[in-house]
Amino acid sequence: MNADLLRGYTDAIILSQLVNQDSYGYRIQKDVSDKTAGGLNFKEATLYTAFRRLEQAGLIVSYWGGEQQGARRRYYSITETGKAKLQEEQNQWMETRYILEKLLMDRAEQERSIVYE
Amino acid sequence: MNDTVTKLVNIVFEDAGDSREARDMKEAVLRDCQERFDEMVAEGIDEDEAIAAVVESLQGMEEIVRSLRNVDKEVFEESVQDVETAPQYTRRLKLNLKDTDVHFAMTSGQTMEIILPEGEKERFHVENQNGWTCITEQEYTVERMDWYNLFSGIRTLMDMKQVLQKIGNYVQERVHSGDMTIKVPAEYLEEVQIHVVNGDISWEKVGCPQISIQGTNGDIDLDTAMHGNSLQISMVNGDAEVRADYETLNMTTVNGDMEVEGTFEHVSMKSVSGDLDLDLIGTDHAEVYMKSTSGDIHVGLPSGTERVRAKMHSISGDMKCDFPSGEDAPFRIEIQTVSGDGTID
Repeated sequence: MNADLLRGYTDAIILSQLVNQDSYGYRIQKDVSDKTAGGLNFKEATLYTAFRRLEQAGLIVSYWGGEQQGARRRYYSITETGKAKLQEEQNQWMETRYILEKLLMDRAEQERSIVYE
Repeated sequence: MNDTVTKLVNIVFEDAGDSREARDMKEAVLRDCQERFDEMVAEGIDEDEAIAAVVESLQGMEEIVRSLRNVDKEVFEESVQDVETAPQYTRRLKLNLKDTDVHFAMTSGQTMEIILPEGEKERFHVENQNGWTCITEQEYTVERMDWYNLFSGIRTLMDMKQVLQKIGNYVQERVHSGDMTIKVPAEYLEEVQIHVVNGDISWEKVGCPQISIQGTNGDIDLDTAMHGNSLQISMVNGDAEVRADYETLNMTTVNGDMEVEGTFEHVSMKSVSGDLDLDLIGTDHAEVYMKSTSGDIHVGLPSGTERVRAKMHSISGDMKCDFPSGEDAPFRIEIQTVSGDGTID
């Protein structure tokens, strides 16, 4: 997979995990990993750098969970601005995907290159 | 709590400094690592492998730890901003408070006035950031308690008294601080985000199309003026009383009653152990979702309502829905209760 491309969507991916319910670090890592069958595994550093960035930009807010024992979970919640940003990123992805598919996945082109191998 | 996991996180955060941000991040990361470890072990994975997975997830933390270390320095180096000479405020306000009540009120002036609690001004940091006016309440960073050495010098009762005095002063300084007042013209604010740990929020007759409030302990009393898009309130312990006109209302609370009156198109009210009371006035059509685990739910609908779809869930509370009499409007009500009573009038 293209690590650079995915890295550019880190913020959008995190926002997408918060759109339906609030979540926290490990839960987001786990969900993303499960949903992509291990394809994308966020490191703590990636997540928390992104959380900081997203919170400073007003796209998410955070709060402590009420856990009684041990370390508490830091929950994150998407704001209206965050939802708008996610929408923007989704649109951008559709455009990108369209362009690449059109160029890289053209059937006629593929068949010709196979013949020449 | 696995010791190795704790030690690993301690090592990673060794040089992160002692700022609030560093401590928060460390606790959140520690929790993530503990959960990762516990889940893997519960799935039957070898402890050593689980530790290896935790180590891998912690790779690359150096950069963020380095920047956390610098946050500590920034706190001391930045000068206190005098409110009178502060930069022009923006129309987007973000509050990050710990122990402060906030009042929003109308001003006859043209711009926003921020009135910080008396004698506490140094603890509040006001600045414009990315188009937002941000007010952050900081912890006391100046005096630290040296807990370890505090108790080691006690020989006499007098010593003990002095120690208790010190602890008393320490606690005193950290109890609830004063009130903050934000005065704005009625239609000045565009978006407000409030995050408060302990503090009440009251809001009087000022408008704002987008409000988001998150608090742990505190009551909320909102009376907003104009029509807005979205009002979100999330509290752990606290009651909320709201009079507003929004397209979307989203309220959740753990322990606390919620009383709402107004015009909304989409309403979602959820509580674990509080009562929910919604009085819709002047609504044409609305979608209402109310869920309470052990509280009562009451919904009142206005006459002339054309279309309302309401879903009310309660585990052990009672539910009551008032319809205006003699109306022939299409209502769709779904009531689910486990052990309470449901009444439709």
